[in-house]
Amino acid sequence: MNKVIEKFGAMVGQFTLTSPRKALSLLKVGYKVSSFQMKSLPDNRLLPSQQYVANMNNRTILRSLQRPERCAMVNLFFPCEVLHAMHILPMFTEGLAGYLNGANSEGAFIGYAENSGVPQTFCSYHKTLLGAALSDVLEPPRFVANTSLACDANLSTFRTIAAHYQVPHFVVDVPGVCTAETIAYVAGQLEDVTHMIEEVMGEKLEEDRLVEVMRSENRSLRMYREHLHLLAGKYMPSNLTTEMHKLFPTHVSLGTSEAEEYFRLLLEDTNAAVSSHGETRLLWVHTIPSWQDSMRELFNFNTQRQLLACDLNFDYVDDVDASHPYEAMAKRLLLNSFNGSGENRAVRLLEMARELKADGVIYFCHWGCKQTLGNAHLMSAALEQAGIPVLVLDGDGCDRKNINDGQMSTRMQAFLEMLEGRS
Amino acid sequence: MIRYVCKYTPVELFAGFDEETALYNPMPENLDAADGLTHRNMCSYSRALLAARTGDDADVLILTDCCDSIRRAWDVLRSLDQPTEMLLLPRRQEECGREIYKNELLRLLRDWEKQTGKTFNCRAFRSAFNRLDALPEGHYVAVMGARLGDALLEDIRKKSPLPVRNNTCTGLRRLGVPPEVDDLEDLMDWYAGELLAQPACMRMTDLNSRRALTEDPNLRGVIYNTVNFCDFYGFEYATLHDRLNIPMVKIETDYTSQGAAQMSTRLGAFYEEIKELIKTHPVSIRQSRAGYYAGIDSGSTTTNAVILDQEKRIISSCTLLTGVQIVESAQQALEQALRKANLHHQQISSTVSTGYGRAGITFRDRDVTEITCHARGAHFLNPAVRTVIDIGGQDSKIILLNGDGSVRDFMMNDKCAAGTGRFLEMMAQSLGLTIEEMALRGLQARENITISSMCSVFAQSEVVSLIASGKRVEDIVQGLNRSVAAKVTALAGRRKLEREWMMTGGVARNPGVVAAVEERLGGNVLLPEEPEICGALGAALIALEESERG
Repeated sequence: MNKVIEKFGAMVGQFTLTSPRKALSLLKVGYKVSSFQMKSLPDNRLLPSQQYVANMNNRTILRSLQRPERCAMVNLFFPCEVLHAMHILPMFTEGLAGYLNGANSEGAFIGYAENSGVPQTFCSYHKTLLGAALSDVLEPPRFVANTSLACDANLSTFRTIAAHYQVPHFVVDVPGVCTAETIAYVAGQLEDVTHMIEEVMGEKLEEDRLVEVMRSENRSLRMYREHLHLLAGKYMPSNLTTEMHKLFPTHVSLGTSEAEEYFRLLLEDTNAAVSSHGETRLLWVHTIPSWQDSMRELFNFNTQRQLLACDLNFDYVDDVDASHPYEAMAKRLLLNSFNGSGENRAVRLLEMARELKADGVIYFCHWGCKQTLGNAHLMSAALEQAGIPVLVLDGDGCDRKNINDGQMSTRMQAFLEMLEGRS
Repeated sequence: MIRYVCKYTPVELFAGFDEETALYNPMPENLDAADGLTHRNMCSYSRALLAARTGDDADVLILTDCCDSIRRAWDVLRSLDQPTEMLLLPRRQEECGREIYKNELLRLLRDWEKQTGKTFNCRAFRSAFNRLDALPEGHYVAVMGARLGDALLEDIRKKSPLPVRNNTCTGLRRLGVPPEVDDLEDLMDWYAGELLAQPACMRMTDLNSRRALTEDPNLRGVIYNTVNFCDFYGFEYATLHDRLNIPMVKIETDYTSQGAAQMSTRLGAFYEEIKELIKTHPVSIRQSRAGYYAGIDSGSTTTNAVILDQEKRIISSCTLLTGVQIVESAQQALEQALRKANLHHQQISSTVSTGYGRAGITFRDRDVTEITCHARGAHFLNPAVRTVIDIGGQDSKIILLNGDGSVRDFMMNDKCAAGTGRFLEMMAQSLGLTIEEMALRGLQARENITISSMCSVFAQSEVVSLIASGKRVEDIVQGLNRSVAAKVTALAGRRKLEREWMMTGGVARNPGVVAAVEERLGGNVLLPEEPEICGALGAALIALEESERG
């Protein structure tokens, strides 16, 4: 790891315990410097869309830290269309935790959360966010809202954060099956949370704005589907961080003009990309430990390997009905491949593995994610039955202290050697 | 027979079909059978359920959509073609959730009629609501948190000084009496509302109903149970720990018998607190015979014996390796201590045992947990001590003391070896050092190395990498010492560790670890001359004091 970032993380950790305000100021300066660096000295190995999304996400994080009075704390799956229509800034678990990990400071926050009684076995993205909130490094958001999709951790984390800051909290319960009744149930809750937001912010939602957000979402998704379709025959250089960056435009930023611009650039890059040339093509299940040097060495900008996508980035890519916004958002949640039985996720993964011509799948068992861990055996059996080799890899997407790096890199390398030896 | 796992299951509805139901709470010997079916880091109950069902799958199992682990267990059971039904249980308890659950109950009812050809009997359904067990009256101890196995609950009931209420997630099933309505839909609407109005499980959105569980004036203590890899209840424990001012102990169960020894120490210390609270001293001590008192601390690594005279002077002590024969080691330690002091067995008036092996020492008069004994011993050695940091061979503890030497609170490490003597032993092995060599090398450190892995296995490979990268052994050793100090002091969480601090246990002889603990605390710690014997000393003091009280 870069020595400067190492030192920076240690300072944030130190201030977390002694002066949370200083820790926050330091983080803001860090992200500003990073933004400046990306603009003045961009990494030329990155494609235009990849440079753009790195910048866009950095802005998203920085804005939410700078303007807590316009900020809502949400989870990755919370439908943010209403927030965008009301110019409210979402701050979400995996995004913020990923950025804190990027600043090498997740350890201090995880430690703080565990010392506050958060179980050690809990997801480390959530522990990082909890530590940042409970230590008061993050300033109070205006409200907290989350869905029960896709994991149980959301319920405990956001409840704890809302109680700590004493701000309003709303949980959207997403049942595991999609029926007319459950659509009405979820849509009703989405209307309720909108009323709560209007009340908290003292502002009215303009329905036209909401429809416009959803139309932008559809334009984005159309370009994204086109990208996925073309990707089947293309090779695009990439790195692990970029795939994690994609979580912003495919989820919380979806519906914004920034996300739309990203998808436009992505499609341009895909059109301009060279044809697939026999490289090893891989799909990734769940989040990616993009901070881990040993994993980066194996994948980043490797012309013989293509990380196609992680399954969080194709959990739901269909158009939404902008004329019935609440029902449309409800359907997007209920039909999400992460919802309900494990079969839904397996079916979607198989479909994409075939469409994108994947040679293998890396099934990443992120620490604490029961949703994913519990499916490891069945999903790998289903993929192998379909002739797609799978590596089940235990690790941690966020906590540097919680991995056996040597074992992970040996397993990953051996899997790649196995796949590459076949061709 | 229909098996169910969750209190929100409509068991009375099955009574309407004349079906017998029973809570499914299996505790298999081990969870090996689940390893081929699911990941090891899933909630232990869901693994126990899978392990047990592989050998017992004739009964229909009714699950609720209650958490990620149960949802994934359902996927596995379906893949095994097991007769399993999953109920859609909403998280919202208000009107919208009630409507969803009412329709789910109606669906279940119709499906059951179709599947079995039986007709739903409303009278049988209604009469199923009268089978409520009486709750203990007066002062009581509650077991709260996640579900726990029947054997453990029985054991708690047997040993607790006060009656026990099962207020765990599955123990709280209490419903009212159904109204006289003819319409089935209205009846199911009432039933859905009644099921959802039970004291809430932590996966529900509105937890207000849980407050009543801890606001009962008759509640005298809480045993808070969490299940390994079920994270829901750890959050409530943290809140209650800050709020409740009655004795509370946290235990973690993994649905096997592993870790039972540590749990019995925790529970034993809790019962002692409760006994103190209700001011009973049900101790039968032989009347004074000759005026010497023995304390024996049977630890996982060493066995220590201390002999006191009536003036509370330490006449003799002895430390031996425990080995596999607990009783024999205890006997030998006591004999050697007696020999040193030129005494014989008959001169010992009372013997109190402590430590992991305390209950197995047959010649004891009483056993007391090492928590109470370390506190007692440390207070005797220096009454200013308010915090004892005890790092032993296989566990570490922080004990907070009141001014009179009684226990105010305590925390223990979990089953993991990090932060214990065992961790240092494993690391010494990796470094090719003896534990004595390692104790000295840390003080010669020059570079500040951080061992980031807390897990012993991961730390071992980190140590190997550090050696390979040419780091000095002394620097690595001190990095390991700091890691132990960090893990142990972190046990206290946000609680302030008040001065004076005293370190006890064998690891207190390691100057590198002591320095690292002092660095974290920001001051000097007190070190007894013989830190290993503090627990045995406390046990001997208790023997003497209780003998004096008669």
